[in-house]
Amino acid sequence: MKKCIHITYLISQLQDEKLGFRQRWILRLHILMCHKCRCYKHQLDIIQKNIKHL
Amino acid sequence: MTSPNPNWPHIRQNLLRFAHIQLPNQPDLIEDLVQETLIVAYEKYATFRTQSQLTTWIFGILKNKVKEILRQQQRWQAVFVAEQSENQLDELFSQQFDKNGQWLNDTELTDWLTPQPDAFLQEKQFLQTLQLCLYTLPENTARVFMMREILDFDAREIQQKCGLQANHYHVLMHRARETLRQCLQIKWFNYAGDVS
Repeated sequence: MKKCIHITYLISQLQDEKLGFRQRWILRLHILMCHKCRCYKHQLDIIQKNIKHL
Repeated sequence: MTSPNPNWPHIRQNLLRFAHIQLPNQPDLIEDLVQETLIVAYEKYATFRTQSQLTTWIFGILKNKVKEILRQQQRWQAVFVAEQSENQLDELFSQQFDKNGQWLNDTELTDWLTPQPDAFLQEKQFLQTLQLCLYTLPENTARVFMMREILDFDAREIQQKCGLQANHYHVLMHRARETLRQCLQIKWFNYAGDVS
């Protein structure tokens, strides 16, 4: 399983560009199994959504 | 309709701060842009019901002006190597993981509950906190992050015009998001129970 620390970079990268097929699957599977990374993604999504309202 | 009584010095200060991050070393241009923005705002401010609606609108005017100037420029201010403050942020981030790169057990990550859209005051306070956190970012990091998320430039255009390698760009963006995340956790979500 990919390390969580690397997954956080993929989660951030996903907000800027479309990930490659392999990276997308790595991320999807990891998030399915890792509660903390799932929360991390949820939190970054909230930041991105709200920053537009500033 | 009740018009807000705007805190003009505070608004001006925020506009200057934003413009300075995006156009460093161009103080005269920044002053002109902010002044033009405030003149437009002063003519129309009475049509706004609340200060937050007004500031969002004013900020939108400046955002468009800055964007227009950046669009005209072939190259943007280069992004420098990590400052000491950026290294400290990276250390804080790493401290949340064990030596295998997995989250430490005592690193708490929870589902954030954001204010409901109808909880106007709470939503406004949340956005103010987010803005406060945004201005604590190191300048390099803030500039690139704001170009992407506030000025809405394409990631590739930012990389190209700032002379950034893709890897460096992604490190900067990750650092910005992580710092905002930690800041919001401390300044907002740790107290969320008290606010409702």
